[in-house]
Amino acid sequence: MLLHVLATLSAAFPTLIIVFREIMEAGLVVGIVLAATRGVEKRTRWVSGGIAAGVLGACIVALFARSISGALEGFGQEYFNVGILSAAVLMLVWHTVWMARHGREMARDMKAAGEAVKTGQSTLFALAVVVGVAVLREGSEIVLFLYGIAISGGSSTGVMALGGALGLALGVVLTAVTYLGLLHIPSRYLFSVTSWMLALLAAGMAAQAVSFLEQAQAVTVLSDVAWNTSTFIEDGSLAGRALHALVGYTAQPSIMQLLVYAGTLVGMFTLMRLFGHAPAPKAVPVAS
Amino acid sequence: MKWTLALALCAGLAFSASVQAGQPLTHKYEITEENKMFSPPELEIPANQKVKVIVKNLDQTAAEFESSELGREKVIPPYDETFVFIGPLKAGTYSYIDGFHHQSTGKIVAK
Repeated sequence: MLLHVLATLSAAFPTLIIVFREIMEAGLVVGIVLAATRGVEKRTRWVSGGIAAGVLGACIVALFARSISGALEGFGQEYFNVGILSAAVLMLVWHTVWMARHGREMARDMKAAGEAVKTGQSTLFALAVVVGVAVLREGSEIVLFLYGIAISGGSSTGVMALGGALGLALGVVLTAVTYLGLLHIPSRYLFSVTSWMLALLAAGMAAQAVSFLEQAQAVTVLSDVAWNTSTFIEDGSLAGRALHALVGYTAQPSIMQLLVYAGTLVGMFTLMRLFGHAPAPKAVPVAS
Repeated sequence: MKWTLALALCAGLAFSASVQAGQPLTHKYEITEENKMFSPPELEIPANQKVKVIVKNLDQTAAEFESSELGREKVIPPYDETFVFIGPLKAGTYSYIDGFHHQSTGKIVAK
């Protein structure tokens, strides 16, 4: 009996790993966004909405995979990825600048109210888009992967469905662990830590958009590989993929990717300096 | 979702047009995946030259041409084909994998 269970699990393992990897990459983003919005009213429904939109989008993308792939002289996939990654980067930049402007006000409100606050809601749409993009990207791969297995039929389908379900469950557990782990950070540091994580996420996504532009032959300058850290952390390893999802790690980045990565961080920092300071509160006459 | 897709398509059209304009003749090569096995298992291409590699998926399940060494990642729906531009590569052996089926691997040898 035990041998049978072990045999089934080992057959399901390859599927489990593939599904888990994709869920993990999206889950890390969800966990960070949830931690970054802790205490903001209605944030759960916005994040859930982002996830739902991402799942729906993933199904649609998988359905139209062939048309997307063949579009734009065969570079449809690349440009689609560039589009959604760019949208996510823009939303993250907006959120970060907004936080720089209103973060202190928000922290103050939270301390005073002790319950969910209204400030910070303006940024929930932006973060929902970021979550949606992450879920869509990883989700579309899962849907394509699982759909093919489902229609191929045969005795292996059930085993692979089991692997997929386990991979999904593990991915959700990881997301919860990420979120709860981040919450251990003292609340006075939580905002700045999550803001930094979101900034690195933005830089990573921007660099990844560049890699798709390079793949589409739209960007050909500075395409030489800058370094190769595969001996330390391989791209395909779990650690590599986790780092990729978190900070945009890639073992062999091109020079252009590095420039865009640094440029995104510098750009965000500059925008924060320019627009990130809330105007001084008006002097209020005090009754003597 | 709609406007980001529209934006991406517009940007893509613009880029794509500029790319097609000055394209020198590129040699084409082909990799086929059937029953989750790549053939040829080692594709030979000339070093220091950009080539176009057409990847055909003859299986019922989706495949993904994925190579961190080559910086390429592209999904191939069932019974479909796609292409990637590879190179110019320094002489050597570069490996790729089917992202949806890690047991399937192949090599591209630049000579």
